[in-house]
Amino acid sequence: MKKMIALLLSLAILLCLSGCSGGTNPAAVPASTGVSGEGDETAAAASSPDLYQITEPIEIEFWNSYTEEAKIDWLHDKVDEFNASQDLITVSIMDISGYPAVDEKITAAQAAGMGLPALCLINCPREQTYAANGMLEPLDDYISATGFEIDDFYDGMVDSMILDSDGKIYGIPFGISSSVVFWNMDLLREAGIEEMPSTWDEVREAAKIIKETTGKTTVGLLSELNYVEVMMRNAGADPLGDGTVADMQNPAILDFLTEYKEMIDAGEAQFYVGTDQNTNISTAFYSGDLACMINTCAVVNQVSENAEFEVATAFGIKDQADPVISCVAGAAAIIPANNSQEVKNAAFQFLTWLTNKENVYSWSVIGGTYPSRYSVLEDDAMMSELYSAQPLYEGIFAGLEGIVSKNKTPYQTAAYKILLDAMSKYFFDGADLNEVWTNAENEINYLLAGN
Amino acid sequence: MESFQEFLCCVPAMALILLVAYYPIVELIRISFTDWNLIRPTYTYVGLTNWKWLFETWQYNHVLNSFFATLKFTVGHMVIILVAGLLMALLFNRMSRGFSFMRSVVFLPHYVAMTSAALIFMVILNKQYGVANVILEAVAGIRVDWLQTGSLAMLSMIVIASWRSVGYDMLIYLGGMQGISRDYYEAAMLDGASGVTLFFNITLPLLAPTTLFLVVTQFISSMKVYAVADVLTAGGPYRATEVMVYLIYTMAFVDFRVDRAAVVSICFFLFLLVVTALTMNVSERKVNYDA
Repeated sequence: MKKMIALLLSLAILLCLSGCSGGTNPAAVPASTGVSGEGDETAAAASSPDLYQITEPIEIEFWNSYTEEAKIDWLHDKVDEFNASQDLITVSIMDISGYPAVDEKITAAQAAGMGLPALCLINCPREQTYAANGMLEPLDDYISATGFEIDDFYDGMVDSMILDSDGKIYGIPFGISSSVVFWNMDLLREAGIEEMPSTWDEVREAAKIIKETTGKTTVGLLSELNYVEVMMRNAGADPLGDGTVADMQNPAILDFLTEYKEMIDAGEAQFYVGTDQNTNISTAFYSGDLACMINTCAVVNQVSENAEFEVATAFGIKDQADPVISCVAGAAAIIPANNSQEVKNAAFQFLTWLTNKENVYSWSVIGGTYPSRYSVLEDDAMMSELYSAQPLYEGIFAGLEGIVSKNKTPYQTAAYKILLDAMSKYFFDGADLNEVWTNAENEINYLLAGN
Repeated sequence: MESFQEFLCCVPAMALILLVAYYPIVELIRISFTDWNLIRPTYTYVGLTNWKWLFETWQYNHVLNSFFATLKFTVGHMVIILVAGLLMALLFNRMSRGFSFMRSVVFLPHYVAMTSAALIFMVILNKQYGVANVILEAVAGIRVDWLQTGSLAMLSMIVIASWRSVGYDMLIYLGGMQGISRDYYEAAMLDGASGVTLFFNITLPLLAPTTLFLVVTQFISSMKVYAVADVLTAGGPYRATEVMVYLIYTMAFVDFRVDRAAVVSICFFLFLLVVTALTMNVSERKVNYDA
């Protein structure tokens, strides 16, 4: 019997190895979009509204990555509302706890070639990587065929959804947030400062005064890509350059690092690191130990609830960049490519409804994210109601024209891990800036070269 | 005929083992020779490119750093749990109610999920607001950055993992001690042997099989550490706690380089296999099973 078992195991292993033929994962080959041909004929055919209609009842799945109760409730209500508003498409919503969990689930489904949702909310930085690997459906034909109001969405937000290599749009801005600035006005007044500092020079001046008069720290910056990229690009340069060669030796960046280190050493600024950095910066701000918290606008409702002092907000801190910029973060709504055309059509129809003006407005009220449509910001009645519900939005939305795409290199996350480590070593370990920054630059350039 | 029927009874279990254990290993080896990135629908066979990457780019791929971080964790973790487990087993090796309760208390952390434990300790070890630093400041007037100093972050990981595992080792040692015949102790005590002599000359040698079992199993388990590194430190600071499994996970599912992750996984697997085989080889000559 032992011989038979051994023989069977050997045969099984040989069978497994014999599957090593061909270079395609057949389970993961994208389904046809139903469009073939070349040139103008293809463009005309692809833009035909008939291709994107739903003619028979269909059920689709929508994956939500939000974890806050209010947002989950809103999405569930909207799904119910959509289902009740028409007879053909039935949407079922699945709540998945957070961006990392959604990433795991959707990549597993993509690799397996089954179980993909019709529509999914993913973290914006992932959108570029997924699009570059053929995982997402390009939406240009859907947009032109159905008259989707893409021009009503903020240019910077839409740009972050475009893959530069083919110029196509692979997602729709849904729950867009970005780095913004929260000021403790009570602490500023205690230090004798009446107006919120708006430029980097004013912040440095205020930091000295606040330290002298109150002993408190002024600027709190998180050790995360979303915030450091914004600070450096506002200082005048993108450390990852054009995404193929780093620009880390740019004098604007070196000056920013040197100035920030001086502020840290003087107790005027802090660079929050570690897995509990979000807790630490929030606790410091709410307890009145930090005058200025640089954080995501998505915490605006949390700030309102927890801060027992007057808070003022700003889109960013003005430095060299004009206007002040902040980089797109938050959630993008995407349609996986590896589904049938009917499923993708239904998903786009639901997405069109979900991102209409009224829904974009009501999502902003509860979500702490930007109203992604120009028409919402231009609607005085809507904005008046929004600012009444959440006064802190006024300072943030004033700079919304400056919303821009992050650096689109697919290696941004890995590169910033190296960059943030180098910053920590310089700020806290007494490392020589030139040495630690040059080493980081070499490693990042190696990465950006596609290695 | 009877033999064939017996064979048929084994087939379902074998099929499950093949599917769950052996097929993934074969697939892993196959992926290591491709450029598949998990989300792209196509891939090509690239021969030894990924294997060359492992050895030619050692200064950028951080695999060696992760290997040594994992070894540091394993050595520290194993020393604590084996020594503390043995001492606790010696201490609580009496069938009284009090000691029975203490055995339960020591074993209780084993029921706590490592992720939950790491989250709680993250709060306890917080530099600004954690209770550890509040006590330390009250006693010694200092605050320590437990999770942002490389050596302390690793130490924190080792202590948390050991706190959770020591109860298990204690129980296994207790079982081993129960299996040692009382005759040895009685004979030695008749000859005037002290407690220390009894321990070093009877208890410890006769616990060799138990110790071997724990060394092998805890070595493999410690080398595969992940949850505490992911939750407590995310591999930081400066990759000081970026253990092998964390590196493999990040490579495969964050950077989508599942081809390179496959290469690292295979090397890691082979290392564990070789060390375990060597340990078993040594044990055949050194371990006495006659208790």
